[in-house]
Amino acid sequence: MAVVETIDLQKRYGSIKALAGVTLNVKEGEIYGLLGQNGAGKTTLIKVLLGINGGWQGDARLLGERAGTPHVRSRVGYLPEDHNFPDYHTGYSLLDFYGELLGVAGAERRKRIPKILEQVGIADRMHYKIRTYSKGMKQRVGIGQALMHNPEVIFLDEPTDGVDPVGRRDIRGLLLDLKKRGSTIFINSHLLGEVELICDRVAILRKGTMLREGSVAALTRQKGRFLIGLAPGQVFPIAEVRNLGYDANPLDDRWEVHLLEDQSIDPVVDYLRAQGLHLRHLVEKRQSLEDLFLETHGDKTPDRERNRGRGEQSENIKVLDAIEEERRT
Amino acid sequence: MKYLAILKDSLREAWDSWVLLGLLALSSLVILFAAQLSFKPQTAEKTMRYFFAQNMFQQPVMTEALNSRKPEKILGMRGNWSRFRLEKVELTRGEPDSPLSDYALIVAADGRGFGMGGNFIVPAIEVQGKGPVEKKKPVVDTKADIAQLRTLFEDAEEIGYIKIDAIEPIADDDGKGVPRYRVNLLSTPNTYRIWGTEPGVLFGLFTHEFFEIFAEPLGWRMYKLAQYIIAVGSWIAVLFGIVITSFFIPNMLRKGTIDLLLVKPISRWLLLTYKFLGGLTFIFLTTGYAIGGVWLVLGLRSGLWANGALLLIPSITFFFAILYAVSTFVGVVTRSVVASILLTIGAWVAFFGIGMVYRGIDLLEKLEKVEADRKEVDGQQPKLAEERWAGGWTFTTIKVIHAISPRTEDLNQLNDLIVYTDFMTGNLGNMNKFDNSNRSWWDSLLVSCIWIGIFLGLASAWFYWKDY
Repeated sequence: MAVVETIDLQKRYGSIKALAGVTLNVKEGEIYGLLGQNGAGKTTLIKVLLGINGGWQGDARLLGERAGTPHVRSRVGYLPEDHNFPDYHTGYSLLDFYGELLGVAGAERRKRIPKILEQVGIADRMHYKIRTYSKGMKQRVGIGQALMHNPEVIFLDEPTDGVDPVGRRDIRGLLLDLKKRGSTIFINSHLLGEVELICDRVAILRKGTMLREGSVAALTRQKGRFLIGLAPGQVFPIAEVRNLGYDANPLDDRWEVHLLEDQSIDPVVDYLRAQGLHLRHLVEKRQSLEDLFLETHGDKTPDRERNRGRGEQSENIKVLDAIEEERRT
Repeated sequence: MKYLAILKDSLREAWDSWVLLGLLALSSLVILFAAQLSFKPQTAEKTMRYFFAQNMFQQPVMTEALNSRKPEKILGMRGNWSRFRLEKVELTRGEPDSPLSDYALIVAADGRGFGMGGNFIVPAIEVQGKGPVEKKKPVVDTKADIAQLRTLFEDAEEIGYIKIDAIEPIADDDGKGVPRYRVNLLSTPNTYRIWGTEPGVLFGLFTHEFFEIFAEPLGWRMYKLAQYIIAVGSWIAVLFGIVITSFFIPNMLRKGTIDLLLVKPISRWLLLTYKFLGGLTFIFLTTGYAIGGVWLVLGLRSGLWANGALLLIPSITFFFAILYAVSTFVGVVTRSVVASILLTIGAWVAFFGIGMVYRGIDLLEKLEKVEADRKEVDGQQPKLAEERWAGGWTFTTIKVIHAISPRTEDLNQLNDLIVYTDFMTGNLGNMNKFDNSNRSWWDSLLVSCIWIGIFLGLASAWFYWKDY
């Protein structure tokens, strides 16, 4: 079932076209990431779906209902990007206020609020005024209020903005936990590494137009490019592999093998084993989401290439390694 | 439940700003001030003197008290009260100096009436160089004297404070030719309301003679006290209320705050209406505390329970609702606290100005009528229509503006009338006896309600269509 579905969704602010026919589909239980530069239309898309902004054309449906109706809003949680919680509230009273507006019964609120604030890591400060909270703590309260009524779908606009690395890891864990429990999560984020780590599918928006959409794996895969790593001390027989008709080049401490049309990686693997070499790493090469994003926006230079000259390993390579590591385990 | 959530949120916001605390502290001070006052009953003689003028330029206190809302009537009486002087008060039944007793007043008609017409005694005069001229003989018209004397008591009798049993001439026993009359007054259960009372401070610790200058009939004294407290208190409360509530809407509409409310399952117009009602409830509660507190302590201290004055709580809240509707509209459109405060106060001043000007022309019309009646009685030519203020286009314009604008000043006058009627009679059913204004209070309420609807409707429409 499509939890979020838009067909040719358009929205204008005067003469500015904020959404120019966006069509997307978010399935139940997935984490969907929406990427785009500032002003690409990401927040507008969420605001249209939640009924904060009206006057749109096309079709937008949420949980099978027309987007933005009061009824459907009772089934979603939302954390806006530049949230500004009334600072006369404490973390507890804020969740109590929003919970009451959402129709959560008093007894249920009293039970749920401490649990949620525990979950987001600020239970020990829940009776302090919000004005005393750090930006990261406010962000955690924001995520907490979005979960107050057990929503079926959660919209998070820059959920890890201003949160320290440990906090980001905690939030990632929380979101993955929510996904396990069946919640659908829609994320807008600038932190591409974060998105890459947790999103099942992503879409890239530019000037209100959807440029790319698909699973992270599919979008970042570079078909026909493999990375090979050997056991420590072993030398990759680059000349021999080239003689086999493959394009092979060193890349950091590994080797990149580029397959031509109709070629398979198997002959290379067989040759290496026949030479008594021990494979420690073999993966189809992927570009980082950032590379993909920049490429989509007209910057063709991959991040790895840009950083190579400075002798640095890019953040996205680290992310890729982390993903590979996660997948291995 | 959602309404309660927004109400609690508004109260939390107001409490956080400390202004609410200031308002409650101020209200508590007013209640404490009222609580330490004491009201000591005066003697029957001092009380009965309130029916008579101290001198020819000053009207009797009782006349002022019973006709304070009808200034044109006092003008119509043409100062005849100064002819009479109270000589003695005799107890005819009951305990001395009790408002439950009956009294006989011995009145001498030896004063000179101030104003034209009427019977008055011309004193002996000397003309320079011509020696003493012949003393004019006083003109005594007993029937006219009794009729005039009756006018001093008839207002009190009409409301039911006293009953005039009889007014009779007394034989000229001192030989000076001064006519004297005996006025037999019977008490009623309401006599205590006009009984002379002398206020004291610090729970009766100080009842120095100084306070005698504030001595007046009880109901009148209490009304004036309540009038000052309410006039000053309600202005301060409304001003504080405007400041406090002006934050509510712009703060709610702040980027990042409004999004979190708009995604809740509540329609925008309902959200705005709840926010409006939340502000009103806040004012209702604070006004209730102040008015209820003053009512309670004044009742306990004086024994005069003006229960009808509690109507001021919804009345002041309604008054505030007009201004808060303006504030809500400005807040929704501009999202600025400063603009909300300034424009709401501006609207308040404008409504007040319109009301006061209308009140002025209302009084002028009445005075013109009194003057025209007098001229008619005296056989003079009445003013031509074009010479009268009331006939001009200025009056018509003001009346039209007043008719179609929010009636905050009418509500002020209504509040005053409620307090006056309740303290003076204890029965709001008597309101029409003290109200001679040329207006229907229901009209005033209806027009004001329509304006509240217009401001809220415009604010809701703007809020509904606006993208945030």
